Amino acid sequence: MKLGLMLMIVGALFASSCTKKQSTQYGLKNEETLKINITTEPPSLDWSKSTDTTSALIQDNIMEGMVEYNFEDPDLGLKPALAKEWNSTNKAQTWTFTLRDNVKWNDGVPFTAQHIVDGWERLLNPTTASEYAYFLYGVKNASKYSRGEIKDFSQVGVKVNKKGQLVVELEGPQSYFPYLLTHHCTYPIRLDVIKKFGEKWTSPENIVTLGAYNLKIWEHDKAIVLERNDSYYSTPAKTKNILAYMIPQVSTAITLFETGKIDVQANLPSAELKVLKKKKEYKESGILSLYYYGMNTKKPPFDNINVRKAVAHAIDRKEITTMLDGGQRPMTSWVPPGMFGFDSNKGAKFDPSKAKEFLAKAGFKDPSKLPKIDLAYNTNEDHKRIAENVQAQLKRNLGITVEIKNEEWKSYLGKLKSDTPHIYRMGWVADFPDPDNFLNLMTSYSDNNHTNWGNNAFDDLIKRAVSVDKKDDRRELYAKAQQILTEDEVPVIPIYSGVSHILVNERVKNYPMNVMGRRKFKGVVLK
Amino acid sequence: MTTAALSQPSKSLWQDSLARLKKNKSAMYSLYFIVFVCIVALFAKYIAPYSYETQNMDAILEGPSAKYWLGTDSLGRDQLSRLIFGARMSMAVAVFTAILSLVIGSIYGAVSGWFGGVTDRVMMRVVDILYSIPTLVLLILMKVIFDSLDIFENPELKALTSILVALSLAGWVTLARVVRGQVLQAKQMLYVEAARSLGAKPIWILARHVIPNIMGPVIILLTLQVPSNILFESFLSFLGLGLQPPFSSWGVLANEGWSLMKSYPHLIISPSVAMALTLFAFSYFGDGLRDAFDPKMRGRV
Repeated sequence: MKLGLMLMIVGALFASSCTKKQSTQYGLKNEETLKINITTEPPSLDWSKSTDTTSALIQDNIMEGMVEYNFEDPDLGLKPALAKEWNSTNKAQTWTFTLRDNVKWNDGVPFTAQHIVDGWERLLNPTTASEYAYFLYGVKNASKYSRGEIKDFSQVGVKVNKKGQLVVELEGPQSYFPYLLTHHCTYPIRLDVIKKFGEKWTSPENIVTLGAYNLKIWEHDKAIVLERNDSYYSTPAKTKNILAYMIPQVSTAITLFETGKIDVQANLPSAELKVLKKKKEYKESGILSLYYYGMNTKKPPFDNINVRKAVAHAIDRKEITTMLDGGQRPMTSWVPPGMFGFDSNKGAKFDPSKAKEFLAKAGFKDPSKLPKIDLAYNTNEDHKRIAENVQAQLKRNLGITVEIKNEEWKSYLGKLKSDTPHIYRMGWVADFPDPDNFLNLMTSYSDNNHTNWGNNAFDDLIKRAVSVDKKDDRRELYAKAQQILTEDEVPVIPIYSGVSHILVNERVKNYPMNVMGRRKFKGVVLK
Repeated sequence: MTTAALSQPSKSLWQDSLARLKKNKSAMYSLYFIVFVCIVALFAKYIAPYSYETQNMDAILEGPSAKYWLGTDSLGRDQLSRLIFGARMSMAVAVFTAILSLVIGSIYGAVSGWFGGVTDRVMMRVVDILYSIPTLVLLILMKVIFDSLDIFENPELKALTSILVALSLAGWVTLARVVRGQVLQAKQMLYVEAARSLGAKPIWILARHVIPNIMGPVIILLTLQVPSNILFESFLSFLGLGLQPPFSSWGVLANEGWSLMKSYPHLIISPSVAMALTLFAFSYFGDGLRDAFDPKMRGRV
């Protein structure tokens, strides 16, 4: 009797585990669902406002820009997306985009050039307060409009002509201008939808998009489900569903990967790379990115330029990359290797004796006289490991004690805006492959600059470099700008340029891996 | 021979208890182990082969070897040294918290029990209120308050105080209740009545007659509270609310080991074993003490 009961229970358990294998959560069929882990809740799916890579990943799949990267091209060229073709006149100062006429939003409304203009107006509008507004500052009068100096948007250099083409007038020549349009902040937008639903327009029942996927389910802090958009203007996505979990603990995620509950796991912990590298599912690719520490130049003692220099000279980047052992490249310059404008000689090189000199020059011959210093990072095992190493290096090389603090990503970003800690960790992944994208971050008018540092000469160089056509001249201007940023004023300490490590289940074919870190899943095939 | 047996001196309650304790083997071995851990913790500086914070980038995440007996962690720090220094932090938190909560708890409980009436009622309601607040919430609150105060210059001391004070403030409540109960009981005893009829002052009676007589149960409670303090400290460190890097405690080590458990199990095994053994030792020793001081309770839960 008892044995019979036991057998029944075991049998029932077995049966239920078997049926579970057939489908995953939300009633999606496993064989047509790519299961990924985006690690955290995207702070916002509003593509005019979001600034982080988690949100960008979702936005890149539900939306589309006028152009997109052609990753098959070794020079990283562009290919048509919403725009059929484009050309420039007047020495790359006027750009004309001819748009496709067969594109429809997923609520049936046809896409027009006006939606792009609306998107740009919203991006630049001071009331939107988008951190990416500076992206379009190359457009005529855009920066003035964004700062509220001009109220009339018709003076900004973007128009729809009679043929329905988009004509963009720039402040000066900008040969890389079309690259900006691969970024989500320049995507078209539906003002009528935003007006109707207000803040809630990005929820699945309200949002209107035109990309290869539709946002179907968004369970906060748990998962996002994307479903193939059948009215997509181009070749429909090969895989029907994308199920994006938000699992912050990497060890949990790796277990889930190994049991086949998720197909892809990025952000592998550096400490486990040694073991994970041996797996056949392991893949890595370089990425145009920068890992850096910023310093609050208004908070004592970091208002003292010599203290900043001392800290920058006291960190051995090589020690960090040796520790991480994942192919990262140590760097002291601001522009990452692999990009035009990179110069390995730039920046504050590791030199403990020089560091001590600077500290003494700052008036802290006795390092224990320094006030309490906080070093902040957003909760993550790797950031913690690096922070602990930097803490130890500063103690060893300078004799200063720093306290490590960590916060969850969303509140960390909030903290950087309201009360920047002494030293904070940040990263940057190229939005487009041009040094302007990196150097612009530290201009006094950039919203991504949390150091409270601003320098007119630096701002001028960046503005000038954008409008210069000749490559060598540009290179020179960027060299000067990097000199100011990483050697003369030092509000930031570059650490390394990153590599993305990823585990991809063998049933997944054509998983997108590229130097821009873009993840568009429409070409992914499941075997 | 018979005269020798007869002339044996009479034994006090304490001597009697100690003799009983000595006969209890598991309790005595536990005591030796606790003393051993305390010595290791006290002389960590001299015993540990390396510093707890020296990072060696050439030896990251190595398994146990002759050079590093328990291997190294993700920053190339010697795990054995971190374990030893971790014992220092864990034991300091456990023992000092127990003492601090003993002092607060027994004074509070004794006063409340002795004076009775309105004093007792008010004081016990305060205890009830504190008791009703979940410990974790109280701990986090205390941590936040004490972290924002800069009392100590020494970072090690600073890291320790906030967690120590937080735990003590949460821990004295139980002790206060037990002490009050014991005092209420002792108050009715004939020797207290005798002392009072001889004109002794309340403070004198409390200090000389009541407190020594209730020490037994209090000490037992204390030895049982020490392991729970160790656990609480680890628990907080595990949640990231405990000690801040680069200091190590068993909880911190367990947290680090846990995240790398899959590939480097040696990092989770050592702190777990150390913690388990210590907790066992304290529990057995506490049991032994209870049996020794309170033979009536032997064999009962």
